[in-house]
Amino acid sequence: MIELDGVSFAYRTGEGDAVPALRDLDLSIESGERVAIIGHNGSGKSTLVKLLTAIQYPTEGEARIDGVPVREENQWTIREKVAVVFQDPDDQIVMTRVADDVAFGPENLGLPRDEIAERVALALEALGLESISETPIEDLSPGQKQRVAIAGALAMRPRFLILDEPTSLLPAPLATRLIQTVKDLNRREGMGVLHVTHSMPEAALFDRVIVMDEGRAVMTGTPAGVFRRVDELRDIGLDVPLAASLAQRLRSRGIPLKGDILTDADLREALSALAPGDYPAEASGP
Amino acid sequence: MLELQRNVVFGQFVDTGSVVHRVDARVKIAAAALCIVASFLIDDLLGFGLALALVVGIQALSRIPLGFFLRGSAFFFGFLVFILVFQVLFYTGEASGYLWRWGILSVSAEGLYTAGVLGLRVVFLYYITTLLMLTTSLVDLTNGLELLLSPLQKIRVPVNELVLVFVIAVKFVPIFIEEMERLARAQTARGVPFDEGGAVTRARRLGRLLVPIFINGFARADTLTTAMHTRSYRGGRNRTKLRVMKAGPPDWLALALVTAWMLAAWQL
Repeated sequence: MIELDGVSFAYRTGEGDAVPALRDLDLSIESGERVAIIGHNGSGKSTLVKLLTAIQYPTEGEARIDGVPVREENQWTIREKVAVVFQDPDDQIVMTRVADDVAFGPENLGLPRDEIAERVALALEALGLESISETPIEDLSPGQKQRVAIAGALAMRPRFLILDEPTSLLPAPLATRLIQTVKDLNRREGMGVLHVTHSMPEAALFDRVIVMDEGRAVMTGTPAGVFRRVDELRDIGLDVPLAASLAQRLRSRGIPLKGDILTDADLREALSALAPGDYPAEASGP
Repeated sequence: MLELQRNVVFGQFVDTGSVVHRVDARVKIAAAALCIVASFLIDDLLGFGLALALVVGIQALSRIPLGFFLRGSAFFFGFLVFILVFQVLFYTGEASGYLWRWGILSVSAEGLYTAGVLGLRVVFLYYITTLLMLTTSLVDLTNGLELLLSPLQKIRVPVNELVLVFVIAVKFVPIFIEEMERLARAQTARGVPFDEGGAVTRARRLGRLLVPIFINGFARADTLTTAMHTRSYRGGRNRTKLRVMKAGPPDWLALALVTAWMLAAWQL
């Protein structure tokens, strides 16, 4: 599991004051849990990713992954436990052919050749890339490239897979499909998934949502619980999914919508479940 | 204006699955290196005739169409002819007689012969290296190079790292080309005419593309470094390679054949 105890982090600028990016953060994420971390730019979510992959180290407090403290001397142990998929696959794919790139990580671990071959084959299969395993990377579509990047992370057999806004360059339907793939993988491999995003609809697909603002975790809970707090989310500059926002406004006008409403489909269902008598007189106006 | 790759055959890889493609990459690299050395030893037309005959034979075996090769080499041959004309006109060695002479310019039998040999040497070098790249994928090429050069590791030459740097450089070429095209389109949309004006104006306009490309390059390098760290890259040591190279008797036979042929071309 991932544990953060009072973790603070500040970037050292040239000479002036240090800029705090994380402030006294307490967090715990179970093994195998699926968590979405949301927040606008500068909320500290990218810094959190850097800390969890031992690219940066806490200036105060302690972060532990499966009991191993995130410190410089443990950096390679930490990186075997945590794999990351970044925003732009072009910036993280190293080799020039699909299978070779998926093998890059396991090759770095110095594993026996048979095991690398097996891991690569399974990772390619999990993401449906078997047929293009020998294709040059430059001939792939952005969505395929991102799947190669995920396969590369998966071949590391990490305890936690961090997705650092990997869908922001993809069209929405493709993004959702990608998230679904990762969720299936989580179920099969029992690996924890942390999805860092500013897309609320994507966050809604996860078990737990952590909202970050100014280096703190300001809200945490189920997607339904978090997205109900529309006004608070607006205050920190986040957009609530349209369906959730609409549902909240309808409820405030006295329309008794049932259940948790996060997606358009939820809203449609809740609306069609309404009985004619449910409309209060004052809600019928514009 | 930015069609850099499409019409040049040099550096391309075309997979026809032929015998030549299946020869071990190390053997191909060694054979090519051998031919390059030979090209500096051979100095007569007969020798180059023989050497070129071998390469033409390999080309036929590789099933890469000659027409495709020639079309992709038009620029190269044009440039070569241009250079050779100068070579003939400014020939300064011993000449038994002049076919034509005007001031310091002249055409002599010796000048033509020297230029001819030089031309064949350059064509041979170009032919052999292009063919090597046409028949060997980048992965095989770099893996082969890494293995061939690995003895240098003992005298602390960081072969693994250097080869990886090369691989990454090559990987970024299409990415940067794409980025350059996007930037050019973005600027064209804002009214920058890239294909108008004199050479200086055009060069200056290209500067507007180069600066953002350069800055972008640094940002990408930074992210890639982070990504490589998170993927546990800690230098070339202690890495296992997924791809194994196996050279069998046919590979050695091919190398022996090329060696013998080149020796013959040199000695005859």
